[in-house]
Amino acid sequence: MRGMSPAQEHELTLLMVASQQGDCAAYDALLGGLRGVVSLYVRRRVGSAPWGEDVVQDVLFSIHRARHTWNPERPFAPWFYAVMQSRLVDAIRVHKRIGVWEEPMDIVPPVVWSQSPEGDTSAQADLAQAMRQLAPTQRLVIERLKLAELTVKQVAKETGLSESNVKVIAHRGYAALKRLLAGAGYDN
Amino acid sequence: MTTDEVVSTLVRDLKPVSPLPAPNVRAWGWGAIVAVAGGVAAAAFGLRPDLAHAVTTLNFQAHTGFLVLATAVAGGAALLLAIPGERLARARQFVPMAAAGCWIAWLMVELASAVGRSPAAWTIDVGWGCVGKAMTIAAVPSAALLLMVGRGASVETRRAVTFAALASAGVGALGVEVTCPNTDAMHLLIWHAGPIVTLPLVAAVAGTPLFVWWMRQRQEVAA
Repeated sequence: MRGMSPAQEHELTLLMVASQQGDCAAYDALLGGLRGVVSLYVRRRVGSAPWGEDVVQDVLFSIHRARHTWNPERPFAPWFYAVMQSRLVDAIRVHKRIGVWEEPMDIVPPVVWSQSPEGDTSAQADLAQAMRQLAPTQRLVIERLKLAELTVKQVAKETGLSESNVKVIAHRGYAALKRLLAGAGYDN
Repeated sequence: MTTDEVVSTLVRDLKPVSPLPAPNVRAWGWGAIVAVAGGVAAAAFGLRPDLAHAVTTLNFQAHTGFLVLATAVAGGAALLLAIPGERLARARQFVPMAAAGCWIAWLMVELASAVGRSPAAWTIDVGWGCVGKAMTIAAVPSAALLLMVGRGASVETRRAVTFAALASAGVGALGVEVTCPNTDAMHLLIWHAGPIVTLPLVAAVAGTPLFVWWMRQRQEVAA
């Protein structure tokens, strides 16, 4: 189950001790090391799910928030794996629940934000195409925020995500949409 | 936000932290809070007049023994489960429930014996006062325990909250044990033992989402 060698665990333990003392370089190295372990762990369990990278980031956030709960006298790996597994299980649970919501997203959503009457059809089609290429969570969150015009709080309640997660997912979704639309020839 | 950006943000936000003390050290700290806050509240209500005699009886010793065991182990378990990666031994999980169960079974035997002497022992009185007293006595220790569990980062929130509720109900039950002079088995069973059964159940069902919501609010405020 463990994907960490004893030498690696020893190194990460030392980095974590230094990180708890506020050593930024050690923390950078720690997160860099953990990121690889988390990515591998997540990929082994959920394959190439489009939200895999979101889980990796969520685990890194959780480690950051919970770093004061690790006792330097205790082994690091069980603490780290418990945090990671918990975030992964939560993510799988949320995406299973979201899977039910996602069914209607295969239908082209009514585009309500297009202002120019000419070229509407192709713009709508491009936007719908870009929306389909987003990660499922990003699609869901943007749809609920922009089409259903719900607040961040309401979307958080509906999806079981925290409000800050909704904001982060929406932010990433907008950035991805911008990239995709830029690739399709749109300036802004 | 890319993962590289997340890492940069977290590194930029890094502040030194003091690791939480070991769960058993925190459990002793909570024990001190229980002793002081619970003791002050119980004294404010007034100790039962027959306490000096009661402590010499087997029934009182059994009640308090089972309650102390249930409360202490449940409180310790809640604090242990607040730390990711800490494992609660299987035997230790069942001790609080078994101790509370033994107390209730003891009360049932007392009730059966009382009913054998007089059918009037079935009478149920109105003892909401004891429930209020238990809640008051347990208020500070419960709040302290929830804060201490919240300081952690539990990955087994439901179990942590349920054990915290059992420990809190145990503090309240201990408090009424030393302040309520009513020794009728039916009164003890309904009004003293009732909360120790209902509170953990309510906590497991409704308390966990509330606790998770509260933790998220705290994290968002901190962020």
